[in-house]
Amino acid sequence: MESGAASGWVGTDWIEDIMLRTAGPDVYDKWVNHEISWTDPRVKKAFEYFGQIVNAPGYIYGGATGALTIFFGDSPAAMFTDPPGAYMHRQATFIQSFILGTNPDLVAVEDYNVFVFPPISPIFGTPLLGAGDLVGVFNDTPEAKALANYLASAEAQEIWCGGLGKLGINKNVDPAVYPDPITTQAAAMLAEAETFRFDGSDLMPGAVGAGTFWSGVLDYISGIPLDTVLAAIEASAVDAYGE
Amino acid sequence: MAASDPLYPEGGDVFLRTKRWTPWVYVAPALVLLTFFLIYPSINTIRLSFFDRRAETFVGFANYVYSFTNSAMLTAFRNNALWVAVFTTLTVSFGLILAVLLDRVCYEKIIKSLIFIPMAISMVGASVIWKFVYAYRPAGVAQIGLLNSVVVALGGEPIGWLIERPWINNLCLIAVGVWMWTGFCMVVLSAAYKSIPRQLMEAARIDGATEWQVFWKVILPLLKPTVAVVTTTMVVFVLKIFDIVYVMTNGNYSTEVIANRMYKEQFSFWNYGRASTIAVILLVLVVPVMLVNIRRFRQQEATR
Repeated sequence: MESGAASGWVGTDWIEDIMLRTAGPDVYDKWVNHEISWTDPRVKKAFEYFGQIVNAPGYIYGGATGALTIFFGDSPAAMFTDPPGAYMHRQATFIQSFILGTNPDLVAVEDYNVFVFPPISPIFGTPLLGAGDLVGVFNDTPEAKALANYLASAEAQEIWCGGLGKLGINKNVDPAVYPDPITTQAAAMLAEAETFRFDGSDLMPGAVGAGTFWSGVLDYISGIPLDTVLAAIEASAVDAYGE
Repeated sequence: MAASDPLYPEGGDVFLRTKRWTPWVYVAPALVLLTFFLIYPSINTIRLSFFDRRAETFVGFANYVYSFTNSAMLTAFRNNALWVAVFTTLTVSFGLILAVLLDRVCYEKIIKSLIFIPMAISMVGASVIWKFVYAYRPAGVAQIGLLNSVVVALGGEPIGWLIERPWINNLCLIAVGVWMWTGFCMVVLSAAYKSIPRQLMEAARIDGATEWQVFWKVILPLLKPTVAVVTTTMVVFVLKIFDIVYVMTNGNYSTEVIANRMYKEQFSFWNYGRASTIAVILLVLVVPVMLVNIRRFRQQEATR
């Protein structure tokens, strides 16, 4: 979970995934817009689910201390030691470059593979959580509009995805352009997904999404009582959202 | 002019005549730069501290109230006080002890250089190095952190040094600062120590004083002005401590400091008002120490 000045964001991704699966996308949206409080029982339940996983003995490589101190890019390496320190790792698709950075001899699909974060409540299935590149148009000119529309087309996305390994959002993108089988699988998951939500902490105002949410997750894992943590985040949210 | 100046019988404005404006011409470029980059920004920061997050609406003292009641800020104040107390004491005392002891050793220059070398690297560089020293890996796996490998070699369990709140991690961070800055104190105090006439100490020893008494009754009083200067310099420096905390823990786990809050409020939360408020608070904290320094300096100049 360690990430220098950004430590804590890994935990927020977990909690957002859990929120989508326990409370559903509509409540997730309300949560991100601060229409429900951070002390709401549904938010608390998502945190508690996460806490169960992190604090259960033997679940996490290095336990809570390891979760807090090991750099997020170094943690997947634990899966490839002999004997392995871990068997599963929850992260976004960019983590491949970190995995291959420490262990360049690994082969995708043979040595490691990917599966979607499992459902928790059967009602909500497996909504996908992600971040993405956003295009902003500053002047409402026909050229700007044309460029924006082009960027959303399958043709442009194929160039984009093939070169950078990102996932295309246009459903007509040819799956063959993706550089490796893992990304192809992820793109297929994205294309079939019924629900997709943008990363919550990225959507929230900075004081919460890059501030108290991050430090709140770290505090919760360190053992601070959950109610205290949620009350602190709620206080900063009231302050940050209210303008 | 009513009274005529014998040097300038033709009268006229003394200021213009005597070319007393010449120094001002030479100082003017520096003054202009100072005004633009120091005086104007300071005044603007003080003004912004009374405005809201976008620096548009006047909010009076709301930001100040927030700064003194918000729990993160209170932790920051507590930690800065801890830094001032521990860091200053340790750097000055280690510097003093090393200055006095190394004077009697033959490899003095080499040892002094080794102790001074950490000052040559940036604070961020030092923080990265020490982050690795404090690194944690689970028990049973090879430790990559120096401290934990020593602990494991001695038979203990590895510890997450930077997450043990509230004292261990703060002291670990302070240790990094002390490692870097003891060299500075040692060098300055060593220069002052070497300027003490040897006869004074020999006379004391001949009179039957023990080494301990020589240190406390002869050396220390003579070094007092230098110790005062070094201490105030260290205090002014440590009140602004940022790099070590930002790189190693980013203020998490109860290690927050004022300068880091200022950075976060400005660059992570984009709250211009609060960031300016914290900057003003930091300024107000540092100014008295600087005034003490300047007054002492003036006293010394006066006694010459």
